[in-house]
Amino acid sequence: MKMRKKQNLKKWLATVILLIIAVFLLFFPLYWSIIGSFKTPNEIFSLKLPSEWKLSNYPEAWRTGNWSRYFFNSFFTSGIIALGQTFFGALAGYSLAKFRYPGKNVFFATTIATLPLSQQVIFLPLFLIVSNLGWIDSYIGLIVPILVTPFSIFLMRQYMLGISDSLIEAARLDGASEPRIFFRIILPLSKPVLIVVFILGFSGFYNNLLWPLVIIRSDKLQTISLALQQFKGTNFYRPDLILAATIMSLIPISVLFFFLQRFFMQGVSISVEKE
Amino acid sequence: MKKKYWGYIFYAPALLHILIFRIYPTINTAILSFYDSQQLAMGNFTLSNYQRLLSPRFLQVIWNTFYYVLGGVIIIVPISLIIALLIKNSKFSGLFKTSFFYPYTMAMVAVAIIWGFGFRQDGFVNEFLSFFGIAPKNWLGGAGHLAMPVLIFATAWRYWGYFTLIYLSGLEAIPAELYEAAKIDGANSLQSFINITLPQLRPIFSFVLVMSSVELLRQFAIPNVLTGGGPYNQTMILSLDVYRQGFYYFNVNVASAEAVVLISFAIIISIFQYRITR
Repeated sequence: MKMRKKQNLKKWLATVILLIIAVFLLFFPLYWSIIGSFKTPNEIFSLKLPSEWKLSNYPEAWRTGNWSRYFFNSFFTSGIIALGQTFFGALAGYSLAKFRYPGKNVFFATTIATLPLSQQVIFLPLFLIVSNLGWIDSYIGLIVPILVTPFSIFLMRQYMLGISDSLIEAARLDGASEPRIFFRIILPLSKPVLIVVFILGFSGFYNNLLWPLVIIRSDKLQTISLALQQFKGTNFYRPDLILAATIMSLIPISVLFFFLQRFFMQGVSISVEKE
Repeated sequence: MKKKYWGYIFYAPALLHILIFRIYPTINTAILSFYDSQQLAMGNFTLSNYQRLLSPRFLQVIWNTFYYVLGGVIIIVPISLIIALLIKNSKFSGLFKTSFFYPYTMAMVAVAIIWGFGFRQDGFVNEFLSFFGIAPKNWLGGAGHLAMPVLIFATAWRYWGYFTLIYLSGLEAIPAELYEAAKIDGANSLQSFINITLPQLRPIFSFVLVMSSVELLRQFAIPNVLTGGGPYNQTMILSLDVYRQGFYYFNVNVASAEAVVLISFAIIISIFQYRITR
């Protein structure tokens, strides 16, 4: 009995400490930003609640640029990239997990060896290739270089190693073609990892600044992160509008996270298990 | 036998992509870094791009990069572990997990904007410190060398929850029998932490160490928006400088030499990772 009490006390103590850390470190900056987006510029830097809730910051920020277009660009490019990373990752992962052929180990080693060569590290060489291809300032230039990532191949292979061979063999005996096996058996069985890779790919590109910054020149192709960076640079005397635009830009992924947090977090655990 | 050939077909798109968009550009940059012109046919072999990297300015960039990566690792590795241990032994652990993970899902530009406001002279950080009688500081301006710590903090803020989750999956994997056996032997919780938890966490520990270094080396958006490399180049790290040399000054060959250094660092860290995980 005494033991239980002590345990409980410890639990509560940990909870209170966590709560204090979370309030100061996490909730306060976010709360400050949200409240600030409803204030006038001269009230933003006081810690008080707004004397009058100013709802006009959002529409005003929205009108400063072509924001509906930027949102469309972000969703469109992130969606295609996530689809590509999922589909090509699944194809390659399946090949590495379930086939035996000469050179497979070389393919796998290549996948592993190119993991550190991520787009953030090789952005300059990548830019030179894209400009030689004539893809600067286009959706294609934004999307194609990121359509496949070694990391997604890796996760897929890891997951598909767990699919039983007898299922595939049985389908072969039934005379199913290889593509049919992939689409009808492998993909449905891999649903959890497909969702994880899709979400990671989508939010990864939505939150990416460097690549759009390097590739995009014209306003009509800007993504949210790029537009937000420019907005911050040109409207530094309007912190109220900057905060409204910032909160606006956070909404889509936050909603996604709210409903699909399980998958966001599964991505982390799968990447640890691969170790 | 037909099976084999399907294995190749399924891997082909990925292989093609890796060759064109990862391996070829990397090799191309390595070659460009030894030439004095973007058009190889018109250029000459030279070491001057690398000689320029020995300038004091660039040595400062290398130093800043080390400072940033090591500083980030030093505050991410222990603090994420502490948060993970607290979450594991607390109530509402699911809620805390979600809350701490949330910043990792935020756009980096947004993270940089929020902390940029927070660390302004009239921002909420100084306001908060003034409650404790601490004089306001000029965090992001001036020559006080405070910008790098602020940048490290803002970056760590985004990643703490992510690495907390990694620690938690490591903690959950420790067999409960170990703790029970220790309890029977009369060990208190500090002893079982030192003798069981820490040794059992070793692989996860190395993983967090390597992954956080890789992530910090790759940062671009948070430094670019929060400090832009300033004040007085105090926060000019490699990735920012490659961008600046390549896209502001159009020194593609010098930028290539810098990119080679950046890529080498990334590869070195990954070799460590490979060593650790074997």
